[in-house]
Amino acid sequence: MTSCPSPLLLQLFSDPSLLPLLLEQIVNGLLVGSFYIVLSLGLSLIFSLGGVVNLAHGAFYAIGAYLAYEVEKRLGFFGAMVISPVLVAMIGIAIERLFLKRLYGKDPALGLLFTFGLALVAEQSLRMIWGTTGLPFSIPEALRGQLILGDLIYSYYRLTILAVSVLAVLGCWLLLNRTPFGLVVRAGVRDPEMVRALGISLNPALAAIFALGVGLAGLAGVMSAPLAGVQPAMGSEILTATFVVVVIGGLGSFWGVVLAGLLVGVVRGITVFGCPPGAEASMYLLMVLVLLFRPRGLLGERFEKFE
Amino acid sequence: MIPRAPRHPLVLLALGLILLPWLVLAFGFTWGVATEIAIFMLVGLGYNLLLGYTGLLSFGHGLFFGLAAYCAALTQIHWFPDSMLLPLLAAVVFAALLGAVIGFLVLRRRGVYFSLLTLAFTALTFYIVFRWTDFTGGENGLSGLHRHSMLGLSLDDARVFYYVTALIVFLVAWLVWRIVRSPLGSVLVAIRENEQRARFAGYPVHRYKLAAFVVSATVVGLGGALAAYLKLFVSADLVHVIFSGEILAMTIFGGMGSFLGPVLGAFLYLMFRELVSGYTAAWQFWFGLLFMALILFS
Repeated sequence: MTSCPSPLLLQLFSDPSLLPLLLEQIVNGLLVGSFYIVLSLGLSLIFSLGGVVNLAHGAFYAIGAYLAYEVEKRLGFFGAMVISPVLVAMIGIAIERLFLKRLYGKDPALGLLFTFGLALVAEQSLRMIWGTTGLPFSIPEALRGQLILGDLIYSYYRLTILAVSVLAVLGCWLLLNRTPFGLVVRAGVRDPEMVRALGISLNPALAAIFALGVGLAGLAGVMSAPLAGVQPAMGSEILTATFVVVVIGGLGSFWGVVLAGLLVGVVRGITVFGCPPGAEASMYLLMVLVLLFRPRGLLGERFEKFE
Repeated sequence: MIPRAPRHPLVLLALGLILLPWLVLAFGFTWGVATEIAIFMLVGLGYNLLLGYTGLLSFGHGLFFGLAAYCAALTQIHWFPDSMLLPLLAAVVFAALLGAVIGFLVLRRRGVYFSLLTLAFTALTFYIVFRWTDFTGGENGLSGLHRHSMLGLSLDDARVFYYVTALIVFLVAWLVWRIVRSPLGSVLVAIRENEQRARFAGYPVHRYKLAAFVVSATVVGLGGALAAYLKLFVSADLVHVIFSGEILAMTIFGGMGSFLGPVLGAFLYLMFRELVSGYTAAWQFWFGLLFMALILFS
């Protein structure tokens, strides 16, 4: 029976040899955090440029996992890791061009409500196609096993996720800050009217960013499949957490999301160690505190359209 | 031929509540379903006071619904096992207080931040309720509620319970109508249309928003308490963000621009659920499609 505060926490003060255990949970938390970052970055990008609160983000995450299940059967895990996010991105482009495009000029609540409906439809579709119970998905052969450093044990798979997440984040950063496309996106986030006044159409950027955003969600889905399993409700479960990270980090801020993801991960790690029943609640409490005292988030910027 | 007078929303509501059971039974459903529809009509009205009239999109009302239900349940189990009225009153008072506290915290922010704060509070509360097994029954929820009787009529009879619920719904709807038609209601609409201007006109906007929030929370909470007595069971998924989403969907579906919109929305949503789930478990799929179409083409 888990209790709060946990016996481990109380013992920590008298027995310093428990410190590595705490450290292990913190590192675990950082790994979870890096995973949240990939998801939240996608959500934040879609929100920043398109102004759409994508309540279907979790659904794309789930679709990524389910598609990975199918691709993995034919092309192996690494094939799945590459192809599944691309497929999800393609679905994203279709949705954006067919539907979201019509909602841009209107009340922002409409985009939110539309994606809400989309999330419902997507989750139910997953249930209908693949059944209501979860699908088995195991860690690929090549990535099993653990790395042992003194007292600390890290599974190769989790380290791989960490590496992939870091690459994804860096890739995004490069895209946004070192390419002409990224320049258009950043300008579009700041002042879309000015961009249009300069004669640059934001439509390709909007579609591309939406595709990128949901593609990242799909990638996160693929990565999480061997760990958390593949089941229809996985999308809605992860959705609120994703929002939490985006809000803590600050709407519209790249490094804010990264920082927030790490913070949420660390806090979760500490809570799992010191007060296990509070582990899931801890991030929401963190979000409440941040919103009350620093509503723009840790590194967020003041955007009128959010307030 | 309906003459002019009965087009007054409250009269329509009264007619609707009287006719509802016949309609529901005609489709082969139960009195319980009718009662559930009535409860959600109430919830929709309360929620729309905040959404439609004041323009505040809250994801938090599952919180009020669920916690009031728990309050009613816990009060009856621990303090007043022989009464139904007292726990109900306790739940209403609790919902009002909760609305005041949370409203005070949450209304300090506007726009998207406000909505996300309500989302965070709901998620936070869900996990607390879900994990605090000793107090709330955790995953298993709480059962062991009793309805007792009123004026000699046993509320365990589904028909009696329906009419009592319908009466409560009607009375509270009348209250909400009075609020909406009062100067307070006009100020709320002014706030929705242009908050800054309302403030410039000298209205203490924050207090008005808080008032709307508290009333909304109380009405939704009453709905929750009634639902606890309908199902004779409470569980954590009443406090879930998804449930808040359902309340939102019902209200939008029926139309947030009119007084009776949410009432219609509740009716349609629940009838849709009951009808379609007779054919397929994936009724939400069809509802989702309908909802998306509604948003795109309205």
